[in-house]
Amino acid sequence: MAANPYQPDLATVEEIIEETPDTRTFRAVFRDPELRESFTYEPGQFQEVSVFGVGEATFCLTSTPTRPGVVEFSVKQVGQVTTALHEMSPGDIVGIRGPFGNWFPYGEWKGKRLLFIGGGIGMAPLRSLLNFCLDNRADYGPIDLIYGARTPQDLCFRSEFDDWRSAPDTRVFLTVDRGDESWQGNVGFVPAYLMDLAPSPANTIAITCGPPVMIKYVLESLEKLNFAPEQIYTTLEMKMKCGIGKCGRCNIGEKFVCIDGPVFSYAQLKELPPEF
Amino acid sequence: MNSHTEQIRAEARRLLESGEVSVVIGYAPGSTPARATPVFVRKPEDAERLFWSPACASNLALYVREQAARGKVAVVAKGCDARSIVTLIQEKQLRREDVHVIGVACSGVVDAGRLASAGVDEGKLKSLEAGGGALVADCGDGPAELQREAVLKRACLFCDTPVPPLWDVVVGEAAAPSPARDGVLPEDLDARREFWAEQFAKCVRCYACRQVCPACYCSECFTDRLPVGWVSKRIAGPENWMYHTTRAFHMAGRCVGCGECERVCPAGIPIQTLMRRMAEEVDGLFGYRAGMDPDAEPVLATYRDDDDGPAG
Amino acid sequence: MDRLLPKAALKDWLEWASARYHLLGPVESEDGSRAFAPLSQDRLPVLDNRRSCLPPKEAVLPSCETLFTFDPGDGEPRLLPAGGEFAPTLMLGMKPCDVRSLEVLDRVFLDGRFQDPYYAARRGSLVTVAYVCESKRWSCFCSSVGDPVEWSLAADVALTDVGDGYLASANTSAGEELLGCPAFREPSADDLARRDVVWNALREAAEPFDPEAVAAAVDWEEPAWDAVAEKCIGCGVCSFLCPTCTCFDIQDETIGGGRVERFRVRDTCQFCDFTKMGHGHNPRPSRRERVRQRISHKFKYIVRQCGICGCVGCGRCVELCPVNADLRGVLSEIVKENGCESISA
Repeated sequence: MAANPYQPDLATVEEIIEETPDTRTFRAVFRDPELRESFTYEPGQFQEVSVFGVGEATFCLTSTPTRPGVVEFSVKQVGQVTTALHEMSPGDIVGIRGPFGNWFPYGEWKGKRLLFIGGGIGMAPLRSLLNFCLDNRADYGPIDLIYGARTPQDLCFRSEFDDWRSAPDTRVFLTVDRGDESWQGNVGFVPAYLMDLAPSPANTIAITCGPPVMIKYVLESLEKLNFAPEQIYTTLEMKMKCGIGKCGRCNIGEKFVCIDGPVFSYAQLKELPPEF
Repeated sequence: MNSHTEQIRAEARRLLESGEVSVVIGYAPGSTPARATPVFVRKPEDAERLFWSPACASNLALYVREQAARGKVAVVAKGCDARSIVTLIQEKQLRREDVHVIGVACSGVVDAGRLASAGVDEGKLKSLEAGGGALVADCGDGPAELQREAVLKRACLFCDTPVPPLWDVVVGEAAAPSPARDGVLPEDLDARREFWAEQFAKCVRCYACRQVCPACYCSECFTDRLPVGWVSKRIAGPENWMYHTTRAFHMAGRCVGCGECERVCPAGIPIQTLMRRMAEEVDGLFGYRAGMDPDAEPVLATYRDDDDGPAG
Repeated sequence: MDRLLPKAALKDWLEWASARYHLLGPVESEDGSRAFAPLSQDRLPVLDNRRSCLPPKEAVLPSCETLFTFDPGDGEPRLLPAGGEFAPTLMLGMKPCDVRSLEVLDRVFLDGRFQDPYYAARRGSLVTVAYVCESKRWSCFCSSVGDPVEWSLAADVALTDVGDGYLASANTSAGEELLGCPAFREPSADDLARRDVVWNALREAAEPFDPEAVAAAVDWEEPAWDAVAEKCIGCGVCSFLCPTCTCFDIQDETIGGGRVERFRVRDTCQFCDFTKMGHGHNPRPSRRERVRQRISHKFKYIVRQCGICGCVGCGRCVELCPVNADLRGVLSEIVKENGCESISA
């Protein structure tokens, strides 16, 4: 990372994968060969990605540090910068600042069962941690992923489902709000599917990310399933600018999402004022 | 307690007791006798919080639009404030029947920010009253008359509507207006350009001028439309110029000259001078003054067959 | 180290200092207010109790500054640093509240995992000379929030008017160097006694309050939020003129030839789109939430994050708020409601 935390490093967009009609995953490579090799981060951290002339936006890293050389981030088209990114082609230049923020405390989870619960593009930060854990498979107990989206076309990272399913002691449970003719899997909202599957909280850490309304009901459901707040983790998003705790924008109460987050346990969330 | 205060409180009590209005928007005493603060009275017993003095500088029409969406409101309004209400009615932001105007005939209000330069120590001020066209202040040594030109909101010196053009009740009588001429602007155009460049360079883009203006009610101001980029967020001469002149054009034919923009500006920019120039232009071209007749159509939103174009 | 500077010798000291520093000090503006501006022999500072309209944060955190420029090059894109040499600068005539405000800014911009290099460069080249006020304006409440004398002693030099001269106390090695100017002489016992009189008067506050107690008193739900939000007009006066408000926005601007300048610019949590996200969600959708944020941040969050009260009691917001919302009254309501000691109003 540059000595000046406001100054990005330049990267070339190597590949753009169309995950869904409004979401694309970008694979970017730093132009500085030394940085390309040395760049590292932790699963759960985020970057500030610049489209020069338009602005910067916050994206969690969806790649895993166990597969270096390329950084990946997924972009849903909602505003100015994301639209500009969606108009890019491989070979275009972006700026990248980071990695910023805290990360999933995976060190504390060795030997535990991991339960990933994702919705839509919320799967992006979870994917970083999931692939990281799969690359360190022996460190963790059984791994389950519950992942849902509005329709089958809105599921991201479909090309990896088989890799995940075929990993040792790893199961993938997919669901959609609305199926189509070819959909064979579960139909229903993620929180409801979670209740149906009724995973045990014993020695388990649950990590969830998705639309705010999904997270709300997932947290409630996990509590009903007797998960303690300390066993549940999520990652929050707020409007950000500096990403380093100086511009004063992303705070929730006395915590800055860019410094004290974006990863929070449910126990920590309960201490925060309800302003997100 | 002066009779203006008594009458305003009585009217507020009557309106709230009868349930005719859900809120009376008026003034309460501020941090010093030279200041007043807006107050929203909803219960008859709270009418005691209302008062009137030459410190009542705010244009309370600012709050009427939002409050009237929830039910009929009453508002204490000076001449300029009532003209703002007329403008809102003309622009269909407010219905006449949704507002009960407690008009106050006014001889000018004090700009507390000017007191220090006029040699008045606001910290020692015990009272500030108006009587017979004179402003009288007591800083502990007994009452002394203040020089109006030195302490009034500058806009008050140019006022020609001391009595509200729209009211349901009106309190007090004002002296006949004798508006001064704004001598701030150089005649020579080059000197004038330099004058404004100097003034706009002082702007910190706090947007107090815009926020305090009852006519600036756009849900998204042109300055916030960043994807379009009418004016960048940069705080610098050219961008400040763009903001102020664009706003002046948006205010042409709509500004009632209440002078709040200038009073609240922390940088001391004579915004009213610019607005008054625009108002003069509109009056010259179309024979129109903002906020006088609720049935008149907004001048720059109306096309008439006899609109000749630039005055020949 | 204490020295006395006869008032007539102020010019000489400034001339001597100008060989070592770029000088900034309070000058009288056209409309009678004060502004920090470059000093010269033709433009001497006005040392009195009137505070400057714009706070001294402008010197270390300009309202608008370039962060870097992106140059696409010819297939070789690169970033050009903002550059800028920051000459050693002496800021004279800072009030105790002004000096304290730098302490708050230092915690925000220099502490933590990241240091702000732009702030650090300007701050590192700044030497401060405080001027201790003989009296407070009606709106000042510095001594309710802390000890303004102690604040002055955090400056490199603190000046106190003791009649024929200024008693100068040096608090750092840079300060001692400044007092090496031949214009200074030894103070008399009388000079020191007169200084103590000024200092004691400044420390007086009707009801001092403990910033920690206020931090504890400020709640998520307070009647004050609605009461203020009702009349607050949502402008940026309080934040932009506050010596310790530093929130900023970062924007890109194309400047021709494919080049882009990234700059940062003052912003405020009081503007409606401050926390508005790309997809339209805004966690602070109305004035109520934004009023709560500013006051909670200033009096509670900064205390928890940086161990320092964010407010220095300078009174600018009290005097300049377009609707006279008067922060002191708001805080009084909050602490009274929570059973703590109220602050002087």
